[in-house]
Amino acid sequence: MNTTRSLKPNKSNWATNIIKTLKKVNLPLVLGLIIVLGIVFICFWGSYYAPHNPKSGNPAIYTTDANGDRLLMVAPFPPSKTHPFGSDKLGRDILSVLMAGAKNTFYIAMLATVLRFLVATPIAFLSAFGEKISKRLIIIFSSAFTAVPSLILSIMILKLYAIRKLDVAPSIIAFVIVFTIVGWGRLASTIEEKIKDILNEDFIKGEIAIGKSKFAIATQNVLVHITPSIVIYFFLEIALVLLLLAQLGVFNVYVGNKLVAGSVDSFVPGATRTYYNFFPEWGGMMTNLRLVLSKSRLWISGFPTLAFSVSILGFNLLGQGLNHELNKRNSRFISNINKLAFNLSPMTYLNEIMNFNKKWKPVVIKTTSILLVMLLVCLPMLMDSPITKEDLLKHIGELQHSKYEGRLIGSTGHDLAADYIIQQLKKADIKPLYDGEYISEFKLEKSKNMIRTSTLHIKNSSGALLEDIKYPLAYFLKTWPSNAIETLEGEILTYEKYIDNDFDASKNYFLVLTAEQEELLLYPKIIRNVKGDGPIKGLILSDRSESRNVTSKVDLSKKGLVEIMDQNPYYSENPPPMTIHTSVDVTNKIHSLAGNTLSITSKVIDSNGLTGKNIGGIIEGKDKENPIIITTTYDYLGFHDDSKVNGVTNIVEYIGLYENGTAISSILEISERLGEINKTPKRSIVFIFIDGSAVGNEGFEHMEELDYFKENPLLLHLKYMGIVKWHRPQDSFYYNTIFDNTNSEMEGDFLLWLRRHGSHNKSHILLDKNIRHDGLMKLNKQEAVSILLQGLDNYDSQWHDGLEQQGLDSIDMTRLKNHTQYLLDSIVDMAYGHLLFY
Amino acid sequence: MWGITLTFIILTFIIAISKLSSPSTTKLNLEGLDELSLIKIQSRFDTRSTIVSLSSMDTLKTNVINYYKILGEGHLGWVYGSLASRNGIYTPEEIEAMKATMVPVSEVIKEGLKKSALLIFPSFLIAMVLGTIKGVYDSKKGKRNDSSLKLISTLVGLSIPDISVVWFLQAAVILISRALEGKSLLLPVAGDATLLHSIMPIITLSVLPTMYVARITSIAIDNAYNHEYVRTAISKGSSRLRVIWVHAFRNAIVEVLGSLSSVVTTLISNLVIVEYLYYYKGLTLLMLEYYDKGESDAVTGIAITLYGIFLFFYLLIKLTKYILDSKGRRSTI
Repeated sequence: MNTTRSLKPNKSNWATNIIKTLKKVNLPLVLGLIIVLGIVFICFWGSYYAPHNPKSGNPAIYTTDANGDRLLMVAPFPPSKTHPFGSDKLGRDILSVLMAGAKNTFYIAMLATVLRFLVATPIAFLSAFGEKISKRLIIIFSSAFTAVPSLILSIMILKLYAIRKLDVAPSIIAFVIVFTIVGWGRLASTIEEKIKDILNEDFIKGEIAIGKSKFAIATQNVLVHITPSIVIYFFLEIALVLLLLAQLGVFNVYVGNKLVAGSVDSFVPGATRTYYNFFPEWGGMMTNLRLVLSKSRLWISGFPTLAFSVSILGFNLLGQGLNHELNKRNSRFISNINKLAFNLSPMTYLNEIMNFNKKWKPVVIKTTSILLVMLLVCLPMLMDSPITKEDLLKHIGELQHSKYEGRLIGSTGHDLAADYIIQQLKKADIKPLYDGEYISEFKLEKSKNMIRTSTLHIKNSSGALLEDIKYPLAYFLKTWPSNAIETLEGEILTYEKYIDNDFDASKNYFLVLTAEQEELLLYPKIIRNVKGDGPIKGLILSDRSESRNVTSKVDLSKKGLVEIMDQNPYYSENPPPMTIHTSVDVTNKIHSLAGNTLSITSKVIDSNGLTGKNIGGIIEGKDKENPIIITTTYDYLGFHDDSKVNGVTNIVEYIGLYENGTAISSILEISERLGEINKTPKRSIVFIFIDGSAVGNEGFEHMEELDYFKENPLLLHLKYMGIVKWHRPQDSFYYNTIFDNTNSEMEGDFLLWLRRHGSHNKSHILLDKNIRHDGLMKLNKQEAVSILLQGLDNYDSQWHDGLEQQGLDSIDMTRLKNHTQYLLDSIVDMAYGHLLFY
Repeated sequence: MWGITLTFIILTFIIAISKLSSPSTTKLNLEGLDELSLIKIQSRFDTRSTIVSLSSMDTLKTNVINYYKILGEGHLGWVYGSLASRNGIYTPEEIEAMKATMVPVSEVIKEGLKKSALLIFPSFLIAMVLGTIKGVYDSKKGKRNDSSLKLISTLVGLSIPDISVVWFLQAAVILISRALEGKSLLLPVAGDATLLHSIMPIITLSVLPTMYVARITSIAIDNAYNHEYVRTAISKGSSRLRVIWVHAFRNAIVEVLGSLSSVVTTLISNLVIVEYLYYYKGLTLLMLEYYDKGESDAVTGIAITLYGIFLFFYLLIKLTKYILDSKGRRSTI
C-alpha cells in the first residue's frame, strides 16, 4: 500500500495524506492514551518536579522598578517567568499546586470509581439474573439522583458541618462514600443492560441448553464478556467523578474543607469568607471561580479548569477509543483483555496454587506482590508515648502551690517557680540554652509599680482599732505619692464638713464621698479644687458596682499596678490627692466613722531595676536553620492571700493557672517526651519560658536577642491551654498569625502539620484573627514566624483573662491532654521529619 | 402501583436529605443554656414545626412526617427569612415581627421556575435541532470506515466540562470588551435582569446536550443503515439525502427520543453550575442559597419542583415516542 502511494508524484497533497492516515488511526484511543499516561507520570513525579512549594507561597514580594525604587507586589501574581501559570491570592504557584495536587485528585477519583464498581457490579449481576430487590434498588437510586441533580445532593450532604470539619483523610473517605451513593445506581443500570445484552446472545442459550447453572454462566461466560466493557466504563466513570469533583470545587466543597483564610468562625455574622485549600488538590483550586472571573484574574481559575478539562477529555477519549476498538470486527482487543482478566482472577490464582509444581512461577510473583501491598497498607504507624492527664496535673498542682506566691516577678515565689521549671527541664534531659545556663537574666527598664502589700486601718482618738479593710478585696489604690512614703495618716472628713469649711487646714484629712454624692458628679469639682499639697491628702471614692472584689486580670492590671504621682510630669505640677476606691458598703462604713483617724500603709515596688529571668532549654538539631521555638510566659501578677475573715478563708489566688500555668505544664510535658527520643532532630527545638509578662513584656525583647531568632525560626506561643466555654466545641484550638510580614511559606507548612494531627488528637484548629499578644507583636518586627495558640478565642479570653482561680476543677484536663498531644505530634513531625505515611 | 411507591420513596428520600442538611437544625447546641432562653428558642422553632437539634433518626422522621402534613394542607411551607438564618435569643415580639416577613415557598418557586424555564426550553430546542443535524453529518452513512476526526469532535464536545465553557465564554466577553475599549460589556456576563442576560447561560447549557444528541443520532442512523430496506433503497439508486431522510432518519428518531430523558437530566444537572456561575437566580441557585440560609422548607419545595420537571419531561418524551413509534404502538395494541 505504501509503495502505491509513493508512486504518486503529487507531493502537494501531503496534508490530505496526513488527514487520511489520521482518519484511519483510532485517534481517540491514541490521544486518550497520551493524556492518561501524562497524568500517570504527573501523579508519580509531579510533586518531585514542582518548581515551588505547593502548600504555601509568599503573598507579597519586593521588586525594584526601573528607577531603582522598591515596589511591593501583592499576590495574586499574573503568569511570569517565575510563575508560569501565575499564583493564587496566597502567593502559591499554580503550576506547582497542579503538579503536586494531581496525585491526590486522581487518588480520590480512582477510589470513588473503584468503590462505585464494587457496589454496582454485584447488584447489576443480581438484577440482570432476575433478583427483584436489587432491581428495585437500582431503579430507586438511579432515578432519585437523576431526578434531583446529584450535584445538588452532593453539595448538600458534603456541606454538613460534621463533614466540613473533618480532617483530610476522613474527609476523603466521606467524599468517596458520597460519590458512590450518588453514582452507583446509574452505573449499575448501565452494567445491567450490558449483561442483559450478553444474556441474549446465542452462545448463552447453548450453555443453558447443556444445563449450566446460572452461577456458572455468570462467572464463566458473562464475567468474561463483560470485563472489556467494564474497563471502558471504568475510564468513562473516572471522567464523571472528576467532573463532579471540579463542580463541587466551584461550590467551595472540596476535601479537607477546613482552613479558611479571612474570617473563619461562623460566630461572626455577615463576614465574607474566602476559601483556600491547603491540601494540594485540584477541586479546591476551583473555589471562587465566580469571584475570580468577576475580578478578571483569569489565570487563577483558568489553569485548574484547563487541567480538569484535559484530564476528563483524556479519560473519555481513552474509554471511547477502547469502545471503538472493541467494536471492530477483527479486534484482538477482547481476547487480550480476557487473558488479562483470566490471569488476574483469583480463581486462576487458586488453580495455580493447586498445581504448584507446574506453575510455581506465577504463584511466587503473585504471592510476593500481594504480601508487599499488604505490608504497605498495614505498616504500623510510629506512635509517640501518649501524654496522660496525671502527668499534666502534676505540674499544674505544683504550680498552684501557695509557696510560689503567684510567681510575681521579684518575689521569692517567682524564683522558686523558675527553679522548679529548670529542675523539670534537667529531668527531661533538655540542654541549657544560654551557654551552659538555663537562665538568662535581664534588667527591667520600664517603670511599672506594683503594690505588694497594703493595709487600711481606722482608729479612734485613743488608738483602738475600729476597722481593718482588706486589700485588694475591699479597696485598691490608683495613685500613690512616692515610693519613699510608706504610711499616710489623716482624719476622716465628710463632704458636708468640707463644703462648710469645717476643718483645720494644718492637719491631714481623707475626704470621703458616698455613692449618692458621687452620683452628683462631685468628684470632678473636687479634684479641681483639692490639691495634694493641701490638707486633703486623700479621697475615698465609692465604686458604683456592688462589691469591690477584684475579679479579673483586667481589673487587676489596672489596680495592681499603681501610678506614682511624682513620676508623672502632669501630677508633679498639680499633685492630686491620693484616691482610694472602695465599694459602696465600705464608703458608707468609713462615712459613718467620720472624725476618726485613717491610716494607710503600702509597700510599692517599682519594676524598674528588677531582674527578670528567661528560662531556656534546647534540643539541638542537625540543621541550624529554622529552629522551632516553643514559648509561654511564666510569671504572673502574684497574689496569694489566704487570710481568714470571720472564720471563712478568703483566698485570693492570682497564680495564673489559666493564662500560663497550663501552658507551662504542657511545654514541660512536651519537653519530657521529646527528651525521650534518642534521635537528633532535623531542626533544633528551643523551649523558652518568658519572664516579665505582667510588667510590660520586656522578656520578649530580651528573648529576641537570641541567635536562634536570626535563623528564620518558627515560634509557637501557648496561652490558655485547656480552657473551654460551654458554647464552644470542645475540640477547638485557636491560632493567629501575622500574614503580612512573616515567612508565610513556613507558616503554611506548620498549619499543614497541625492539621495532619488534628483529627486523631480530637483537636480542631481555627483561625481567630482577633487574638493577639502584645509581646508577640513586638517580635513580629523581626522576620520570625510567630504563631499564637490558645484554647480560648478572643471573645472568651476577655472574660477569662485571669479569672479568679477556682481550683483545678475548672480546667478541662481532657482538652488540655488532647491539645498537648496534638502539639507534641506536630512538633515531632516537624522536627524529626515524616514519621508517618502521608 | 409500583410507580407511585417509587415516587413516594424518592420523595421521602429527597425530603429527608433536605431536612438532614438544613444547617440551622443541626448547628444549635442547647447545652448549658438557662431555662428562659431555652423557652425562647423553642418558641422560635415551634413556628417552623421542626425539631431543634438533630440527634436521632426519630427527629428526622418527625421532620419528614411534619413536612408531609404541610404538603397535605396544600402548600409547600414557608421561607422564614430572618427567622431561619439567625441563631439567637429573641423576645416574642421580635419573633412576631420576623414572622411577618415570611413568604410562602410556592411564590419563590414560581419566580425561580420562570427563570429556569427560560434557560431549559431554548437549550433543549437548540440541542435537538443542532444535535440531530450534527448527528446526521457525523454518521458513517453506510461507509465502512468512519472518520476519527468527526468522532473526536463530538467526543471533545461531550467531554468538556460546563465549567470550562463558562470560563471560556465569560473570559472571551471580558477580554473582547476590554480590547474594544468599550466601557460596558458586549454581553452581560452575570445576572438575570434582562433577556440578554440569558444568552450566555443558554449557550453554555446547550453545548453538552447538543453533542449528546449528535452522538445518539449518529449511532442510531448507523444502526438504521444496517437494515435490509436501507440497503435495498441504496441499491435501487435513491439519492443520498433521500435515503437519509426517508429511511434512516425517520427510524433513528425513535431511538433518539428514547434517550432524551438523559438529555433532560444533563440539562437539569448542568443548570446548577450554569445558574451559579452566571448568578442567574433560577431554581437551583435559589435552592443552594436557601440551603445556606437554613430554609429547609424552601429547599425541599424546590427539590420537589425539580423532580416534577423531570417527571414532566419524562412523561412528555414517553408520549411523543408513543405517538411517533407506530411499530411499538401496534404491538402494544
